Amino acid sequence: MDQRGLVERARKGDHDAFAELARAAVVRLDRAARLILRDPELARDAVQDGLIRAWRDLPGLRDPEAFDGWLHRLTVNACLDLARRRRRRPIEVELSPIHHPAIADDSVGIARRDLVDNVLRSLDPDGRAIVVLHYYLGMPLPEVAATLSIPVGTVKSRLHRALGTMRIAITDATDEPQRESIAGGQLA
Amino acid sequence: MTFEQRFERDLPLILDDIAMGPYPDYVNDVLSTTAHGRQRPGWTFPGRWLPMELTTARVPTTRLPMRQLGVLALIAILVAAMLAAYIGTHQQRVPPPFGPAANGLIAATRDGDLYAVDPRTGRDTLVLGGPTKDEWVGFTPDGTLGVFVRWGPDSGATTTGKLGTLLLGSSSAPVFIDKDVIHGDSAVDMAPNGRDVAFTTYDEGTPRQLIIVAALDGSTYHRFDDVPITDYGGVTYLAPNGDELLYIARSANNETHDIRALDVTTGRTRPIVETTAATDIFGGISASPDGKRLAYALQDRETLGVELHVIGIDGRDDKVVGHAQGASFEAWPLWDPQGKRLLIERGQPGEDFARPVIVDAAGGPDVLVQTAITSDGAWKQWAPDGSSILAQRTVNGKELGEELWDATTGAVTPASWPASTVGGWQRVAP
Repeated sequence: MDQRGLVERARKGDHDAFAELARAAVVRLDRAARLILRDPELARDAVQDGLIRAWRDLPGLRDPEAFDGWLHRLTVNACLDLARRRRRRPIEVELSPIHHPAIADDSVGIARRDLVDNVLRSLDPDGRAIVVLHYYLGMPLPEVAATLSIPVGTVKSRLHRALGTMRIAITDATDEPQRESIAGGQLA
Repeated sequence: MTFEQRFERDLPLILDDIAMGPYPDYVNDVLSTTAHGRQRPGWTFPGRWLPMELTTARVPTTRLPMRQLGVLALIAILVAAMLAAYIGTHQQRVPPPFGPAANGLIAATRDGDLYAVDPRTGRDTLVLGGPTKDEWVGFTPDGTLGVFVRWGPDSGATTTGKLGTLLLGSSSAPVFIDKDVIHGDSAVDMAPNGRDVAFTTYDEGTPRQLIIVAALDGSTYHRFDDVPITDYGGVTYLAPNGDELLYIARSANNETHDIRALDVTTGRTRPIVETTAATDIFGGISASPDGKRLAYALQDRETLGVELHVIGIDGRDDKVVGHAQGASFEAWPLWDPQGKRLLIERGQPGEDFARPVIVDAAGGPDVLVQTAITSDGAWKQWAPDGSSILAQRTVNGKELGEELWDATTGAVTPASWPASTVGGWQRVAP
């Protein structure tokens, strides 16, 4: 059955349909939550919270086609709720070891990944959420703005700042010839 | 391709790489929890009571040739002058800021222009037109000023605007609070002194909601940076003097919400309703015209039932009001100008809509309004004399035409003027 059919069944209380939707989405939700919270246990809590809210509030979802974006929104907001709740406590970075790198596993690729990882940690959860929503979950900026309940201008300026920070960090850590090869494996 | 372009192109893969981890098998625990959890009835989901992004639904104003602009501006000035003269000859005294008043004009916005409608005749008059994109907020409590938002250039999604004021009964040009601070979901309330306005806005840096109190002529502007307002519920001046603003804040448990009052002079806040993890504030709140009581709705987070409460403004004497036998949802209270009746929305188990009902706070019989409200909600305001309710329902994301609900019979009458977005009902001296 297609996703729309599953959503319509789940809205009417069919838990098996909801389970199928949840299992299909959980890997991506888990990764997005880990990127935002930088803590696998907190990410687990946030995804659990997002999925429980999704089941409870599914009858309120008017457009079944909007399910993916709606579920992302619930999960990201659960992440931000958790982050705000625990702001007084330092969030420990306990990311699991990398199992299957998706990009070329060479020293340059690892260096670039580590740089981005470090810069991502230096952003606050709201800033990370914008980067994750736009670049990882592929949301257009107006949708990011709606998800986070902030003006699209704010999203643009925060994204600009976050990307600027990442670029500066990479620029500072590498010289120009290396940057060219880091970026795409070949000179522009 | 530049370094920046390649970086942005590769970023999704890098992020995927950073986030790589084992399969999240805790999903099975989640599913065993949800299998035993109840789903929420359609009308109770939170989206219906979060403020709507006004600007996303608006059509951008088309840029017009300069000649037409000039003609339109001239017409607008002439019409404003005529309206000013009309209103000036019809309003000599002003009503007190709270309580019953006579019914004046209705603020209606169409296509970025401001109109004033005489509800007795249905005739509408252009108040402010032209290429700018304006939207009514309402009238000051004394009925002498019209307050509106002038939206800035459309950015394709949301945008910001400035609060402007029209002196009714005068041909003077609008006055603006010269800051681009109004957003699509800002809440605005006019102070009983007729000079100040309170509104919510975003701090672009954090981001978070803030309360601003400013003079409508732009002469004063104060940010309450330390008051952690949430992104719904708005701000409401409290009678009789407007010394305090009611707002909704996050509870200490960081899960639920409280109702608090902000002293606009000292910046101090005090709790009125504090929730525990078991219950939460649901939807809008309403202060009685005498400033002594507050109506609000409380949701049981386990059963999801919503009950209507009335509490003293000092946080004492909390009572459940009007809970009809069998109703599972009663919320969105709105005091009438006399402070005796409450317009609420009532839902029954198994229905995916709510019905507007007028409840007698003293326990008299209810008046059932002959219509239904979907989860999209409805804008509602009592007529200043308390005889009817001006309402605009939204269904499937689309605003319907305005309606008048008779407060005695519950009959619904479609408005006789062209469909608009309503902004408020002017209070005038009896």
